[in-house]
Amino acid sequence: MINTPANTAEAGAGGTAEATTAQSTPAAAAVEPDDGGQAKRTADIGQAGEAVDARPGRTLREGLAVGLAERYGLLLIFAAVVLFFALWNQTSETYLTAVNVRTIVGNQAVVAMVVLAMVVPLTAGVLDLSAASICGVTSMAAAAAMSRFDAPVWVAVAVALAIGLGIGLINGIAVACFEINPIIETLGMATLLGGVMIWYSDGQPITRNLSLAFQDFGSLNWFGVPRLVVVLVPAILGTWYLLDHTPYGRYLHAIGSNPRSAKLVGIRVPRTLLTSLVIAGGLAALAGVLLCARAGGADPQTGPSFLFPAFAAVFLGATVIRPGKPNPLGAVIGVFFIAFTVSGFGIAGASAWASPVFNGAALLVAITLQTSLTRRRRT
Amino acid sequence: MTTAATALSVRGLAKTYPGTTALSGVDLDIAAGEIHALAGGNGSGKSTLVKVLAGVERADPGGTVTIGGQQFPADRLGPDLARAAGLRFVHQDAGVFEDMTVEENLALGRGYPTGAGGRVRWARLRARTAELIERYEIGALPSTRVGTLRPASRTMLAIARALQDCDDGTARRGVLVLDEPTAALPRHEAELLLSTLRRLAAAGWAVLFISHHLVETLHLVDRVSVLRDGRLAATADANDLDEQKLITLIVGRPLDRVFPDAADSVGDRPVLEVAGLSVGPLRDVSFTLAQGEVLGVAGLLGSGRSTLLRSLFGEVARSTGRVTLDGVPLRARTPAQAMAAGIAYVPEDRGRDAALPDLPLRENLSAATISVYWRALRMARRAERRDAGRLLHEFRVKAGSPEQPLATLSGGNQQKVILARWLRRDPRLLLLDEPTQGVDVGARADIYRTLRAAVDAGTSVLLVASDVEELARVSDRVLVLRGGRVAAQLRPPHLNPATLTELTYLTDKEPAR
Repeated sequence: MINTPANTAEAGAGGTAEATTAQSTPAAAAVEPDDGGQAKRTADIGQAGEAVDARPGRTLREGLAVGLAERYGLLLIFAAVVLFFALWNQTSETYLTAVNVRTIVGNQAVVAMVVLAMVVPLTAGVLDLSAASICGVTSMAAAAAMSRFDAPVWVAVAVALAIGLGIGLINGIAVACFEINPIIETLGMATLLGGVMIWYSDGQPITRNLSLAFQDFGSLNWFGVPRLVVVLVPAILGTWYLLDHTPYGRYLHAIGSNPRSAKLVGIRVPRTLLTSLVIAGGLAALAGVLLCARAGGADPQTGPSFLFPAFAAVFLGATVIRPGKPNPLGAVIGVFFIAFTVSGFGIAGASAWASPVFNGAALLVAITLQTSLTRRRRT
Repeated sequence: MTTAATALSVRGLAKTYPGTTALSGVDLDIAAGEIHALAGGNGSGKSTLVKVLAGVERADPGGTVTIGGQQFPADRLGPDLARAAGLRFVHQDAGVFEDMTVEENLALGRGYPTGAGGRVRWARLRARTAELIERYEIGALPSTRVGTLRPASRTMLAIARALQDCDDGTARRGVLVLDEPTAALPRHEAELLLSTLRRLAAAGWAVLFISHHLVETLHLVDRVSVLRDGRLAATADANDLDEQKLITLIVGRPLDRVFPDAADSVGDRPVLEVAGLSVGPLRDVSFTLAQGEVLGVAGLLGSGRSTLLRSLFGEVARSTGRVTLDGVPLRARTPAQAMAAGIAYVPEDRGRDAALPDLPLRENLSAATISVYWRALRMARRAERRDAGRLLHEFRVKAGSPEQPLATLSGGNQQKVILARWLRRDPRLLLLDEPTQGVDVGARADIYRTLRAAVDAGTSVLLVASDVEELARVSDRVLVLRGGRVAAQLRPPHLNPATLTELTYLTDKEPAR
């Protein structure tokens, strides 16, 4: 490879829209690839590019149909699944009852919070694998504060939040300031936190002496709706607002698209990444508080076990609303899609294997869809 | 000189592309034991010649290539044939793996010696490597990591890797073709490399040496052939040439010895003043830029031209030198600070450094102005979309909607979007690095039209470009950077492409008056 500017020009153009055409046309019409030929060569590339722009595109209706199918496909499948279990004679009796729906919503409120925690840094391309473990640790912190130190509920919540934000800060410093690969860093953090929980609790659940009002908040309903929704819905709206309607969210999107470009348009990349992981820690701590209330205590296993369902939901959610990009509404839809499907299988009698099989399958399908969506968008 | 000692002989070589003649009637003879340099400006046909020899491109029928006595029709020479006949190529970037050891790098060229069960015979590999190291004077141990080697040694390693399989101790030697081997090397490293090449030539190899930087190494080669516009302009003994004669041959007309006045005499109020700036390859760079002026920066790759822009934009930390913008000292340590001071920067590599490929045009256009739309606790998306539509129209971007992702546009239209992103900020100082690279002619005209409008509105521009013609046409004044220093300043009527080419290719010596 002779590295003249002409070649760089070709490489630059080759990476963009007209990649395929740029390879074929100017190669056939290639002129002397030294700088002097650059004008000519780039002209060829450029014309090829114009030709691509002017290609007869999809008709508007076609494009709209594909766009809608892309955007709301998951919702359609979701509706089909619910309809199926509601009508199937093996499940129809219990599936769509208020009790079952309430149970699913109540249980999944915690997972949905973990998912929100993961979406914030993921918008900037940072995968936080420690969110579920932060949820576990903070649920244990809240339980222990009440059970072992007789703290009032608000102190327990404050302790949980402080710990979640603190762990988020450590993640943020490691990833943003020391530029450690976020997957490795957060995986290490998740493993470490799992061990800390076992050490602190001796592997036993912490359930005694919890505030009754706190437990009621986790298990009872207001107007037929699980009370946890009071925290979940504002959190969903808040995350959506933060990511889609503030400059901060736009910075995260820009970093997620191209960190080098983001830096060169004046975005303070390290600071933005750091705060995104702190916010993730805070949201995960809220999830921990909800988990503690819902379960009426804490144990070392439950929190970390949310990692995989949350992971699957985030990527499944990236196929709706804003296809190709992780987004809070889509991720929460993903959570409930998985939960309602698994519940149906559970009622039909396939309890133990249904959840991992369906989570795994959903993740594989979702990531395949997302990758191909993103690729289509880029070419 | 078609004697028995002729290692490579080219006769009547021609190569035409649709609409362009890249090579025409080129004759070339290289003797065994000779270091032969091939010189020429951009677009002279050097690279095409190398590609034809390597068999990557097929020449037009009619020419012949004779390698070590075997004659081939030039249009039949393929990569395998060229290799079998004894041609070896080492390309500019050498292609060595820095994280691997010397012996691993050599083994990659030839394969690992293996024993029973496919086991690598390390002892034999080490012995083979040690022998090569000695013969090619690489100056390393077999276990040395290549990243720690000096640049000349890396190139020698690449040469050893290219030659190892046909250097079997017999008298038969082939032709080694080196493409720009010294482009990335400091001068003393280049001399070290050439002295090693000299010993290689003494062992019977013919060396064809292609270089932009030939004037620096003229005294180390035997003969020089100069290509100009695809034709052989001359072949001469290196002893008969000097720098001026060589440049005259490359440029194709007698060298104008009277260089333009290098003194800076910009009349208007200066916007940017740079004094004694040294960072990266830059050495003691000083210049001023007036309001509404387009100051071009010419120079070869590695001359420091991109570093200059990046240091002004706060992307590269600078330690020495004084920079003032509108009389106020500029202390930008981050792009954000430089932007606050009124600087905008369109980087050279759009895909890597400027594009947000999967985001809509609207967000790409407002990427440097996001906070402007933060009104009453929400993003004013409607205003943003309206502005985006206006900018797309104003900058003549061919796009369907502001919501379409940037990656769906052609290169030229993407570049217009990036330019619009910055010009909407009404910068005091606009830094442009190769703004029309990979851009078609129509878009290029659009880009310079909008640039002119910005300049008329008071923006000052620092423009880096490789295309001297473009530089001469667009700039009010051009700085020539060579070896990190400001070697000359050109302003009309001396500002023309030929003079720019001459000046960029001169050595580090002061221009003759």
